[in-house]
Amino acid sequence: MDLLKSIKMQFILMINSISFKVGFSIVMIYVLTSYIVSLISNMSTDIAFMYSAHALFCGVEFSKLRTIFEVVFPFLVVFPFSFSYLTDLSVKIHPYLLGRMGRRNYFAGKIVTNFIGSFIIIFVPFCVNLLLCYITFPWNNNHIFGDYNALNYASELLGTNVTINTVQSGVPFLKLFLYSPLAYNLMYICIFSVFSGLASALSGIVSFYIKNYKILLFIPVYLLFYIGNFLNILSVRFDKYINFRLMDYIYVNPSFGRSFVVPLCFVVFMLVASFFSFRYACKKEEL
Amino acid sequence: MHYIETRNLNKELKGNLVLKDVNLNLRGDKIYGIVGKNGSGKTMLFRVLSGLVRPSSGKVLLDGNEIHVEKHNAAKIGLVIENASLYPAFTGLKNLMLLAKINNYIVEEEVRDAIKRVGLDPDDKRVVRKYSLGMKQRIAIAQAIMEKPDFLFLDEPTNALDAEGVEIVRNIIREEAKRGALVFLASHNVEDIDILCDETFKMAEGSLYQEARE
Amino acid sequence: MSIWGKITRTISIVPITFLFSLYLLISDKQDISIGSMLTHRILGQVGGESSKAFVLVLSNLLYLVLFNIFFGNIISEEFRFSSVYLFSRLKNRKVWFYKKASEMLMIASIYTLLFLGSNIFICMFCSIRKIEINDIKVFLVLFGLITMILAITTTLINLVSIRLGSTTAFITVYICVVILVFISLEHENIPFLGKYYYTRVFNPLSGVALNLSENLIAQCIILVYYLVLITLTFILGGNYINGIDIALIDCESV
Repeated sequence: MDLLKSIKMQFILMINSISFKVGFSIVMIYVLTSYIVSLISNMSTDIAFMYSAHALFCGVEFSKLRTIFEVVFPFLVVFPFSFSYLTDLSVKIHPYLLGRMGRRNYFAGKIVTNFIGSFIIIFVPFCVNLLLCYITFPWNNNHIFGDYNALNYASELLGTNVTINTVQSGVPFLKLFLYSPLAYNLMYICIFSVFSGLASALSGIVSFYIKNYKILLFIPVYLLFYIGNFLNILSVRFDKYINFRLMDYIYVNPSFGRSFVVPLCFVVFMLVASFFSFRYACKKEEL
Repeated sequence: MHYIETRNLNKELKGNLVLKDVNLNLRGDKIYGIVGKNGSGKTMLFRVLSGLVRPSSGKVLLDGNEIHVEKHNAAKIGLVIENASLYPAFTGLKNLMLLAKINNYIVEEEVRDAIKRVGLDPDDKRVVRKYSLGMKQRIAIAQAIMEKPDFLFLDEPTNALDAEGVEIVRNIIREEAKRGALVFLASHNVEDIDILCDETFKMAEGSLYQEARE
Repeated sequence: MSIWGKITRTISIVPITFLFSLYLLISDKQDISIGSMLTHRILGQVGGESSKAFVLVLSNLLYLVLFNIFFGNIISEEFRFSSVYLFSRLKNRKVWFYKKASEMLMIASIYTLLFLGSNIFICMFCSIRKIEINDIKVFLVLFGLITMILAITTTLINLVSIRLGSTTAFITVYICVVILVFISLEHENIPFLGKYYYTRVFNPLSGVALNLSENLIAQCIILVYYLVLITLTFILGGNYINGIDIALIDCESV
């Protein structure tokens, strides 16, 4: 119960803070711009040839502005609440908070609220974009990699066109994709949001180790993505290719080489890091 | 009746003993004062008593219960500590409402009363960033008294206050003691100590001495 | 920031560059010129044979991000904390800012030198060819380009952070960098301007000087353009600092 009170108070603090509003606005601008770009590029297209709504959703790999969002995303996740501990220290309100809720509730509340904040800034705008796409564009199952009659359709779905030795090929969760592309996109929005929340929690727990220079909190998540891209380049030299690009796990895309071990390692790392950082934060003193 | 007990309290920081064998036995609805030079350890003592800082050795008992640093304590503590502030982007009322919502001991009306008691306007739209030093001190005191604490630790409460503000704070301290709270205040202002305190201690290089009252 | 802090942050790019290039050091050597290898390690290439252009690679901006983060509040922190005591004594705020900005430019130059130096070392190790005069020309052009980008972006972050806080300043400037790179990638699709190759020069992130490797005069003009951009940033920054009310910062620090 005390933990819930701590989370509630910190959640109210978060949604009133300018950093959350900045983060949310940036994502919202991105999804609306993406929608408008899709709208403009399909202005004079015959509806029969227009791509399906699920293929024009901004969370799909072929989205026109995806490259921009991909490079900004590692910094965006930091915005909702990762700075809050350092802000409390610099403003010196922490004695009043710690005195009322205790260190455990305070730090546990920080970690959980970090997760929730970053979850929201991805989940809500991406759902808005999905809704707009489904209202505007046809549901005609025209995929970017072909329609039912195209030669490459089945091979793209099943991954039989991949010629290198890899752990996975074809569209993941194929049955769900065939049953309902809408549900498939919603699932990916949830995956993206959870990943975003975990990344934000990572930068939040890094803040427990530094005293000032909030700007340093941008480094951990960016470095994580950079290392993932770097490992991906190295992976090509292995016998079996594994995709280490973290963005490929959270966007809807038919890329190959995705192994459940990569996100599992990330989640396990996050849980272990959160546990030890939480213990460290509870033991240390702000003097 | 509330009481504070400390047994052989020591606090070491980077090899220096900031608190040395502090033994306190404070009882009742009294106002206790503590005087001492800058850096003598008064603020550190308040931090340890309020559970913000872990003692290197010894115990702190509030109403017989050992104080926890990590867990939430049952004792209601009101604290004004030097240099502490509130969120600069919010108004005074919003700041205090956020703090009040943590434990839900009080409602908005009581928060407003606390702000009025210190001589501020609860409907003031200015954010704390735009407050003068005296206003920040007053809102900090409002934050300490709003939940009707059992223990009130005030570190330099009359700092930066005008004559009217000093009188308001003195009256608040008397009222809180009358209500039944155990008030422990530190001040460089000898007048505050003389007028308000029933018992006075002196802090010197981490050690606590009882001062004789004439 | 102490002198040791500045030194540590500046030289940190060397081990980071080597760490993320270890796989190259253990790979087979290639028969590519060192200048070409250096260019392709830092920049990407777009366009066909007649209209090829070099642009910054968005996924390879670690050096830029790190510099912006390490030095993005070096001027603004001093301004925030010491401005009252500093500017009540100094006669001229602009001179103070120019000194700080020049220091920033010098740090950016050293950082770029170390970064490119590390990359040159890696390229020499990975190529069977020796250094030629053309490779040195490429090095100098890249040195000018990267120093300019680092100096301008970091100075802008410092200026914006006085008003909006370092983190909002960083994300704002970074998004502008990303958009400029995107414009450079889509240059040919821009109405009217896209038809003319040399309009790329107005985009400081397009690396256009490298495309003009045959034309020395054009390269010099572009390097002068970079210097003008830096000077303009400093002058506008000086005017901004001169006009701010001290101790009346009316913003939430993010």
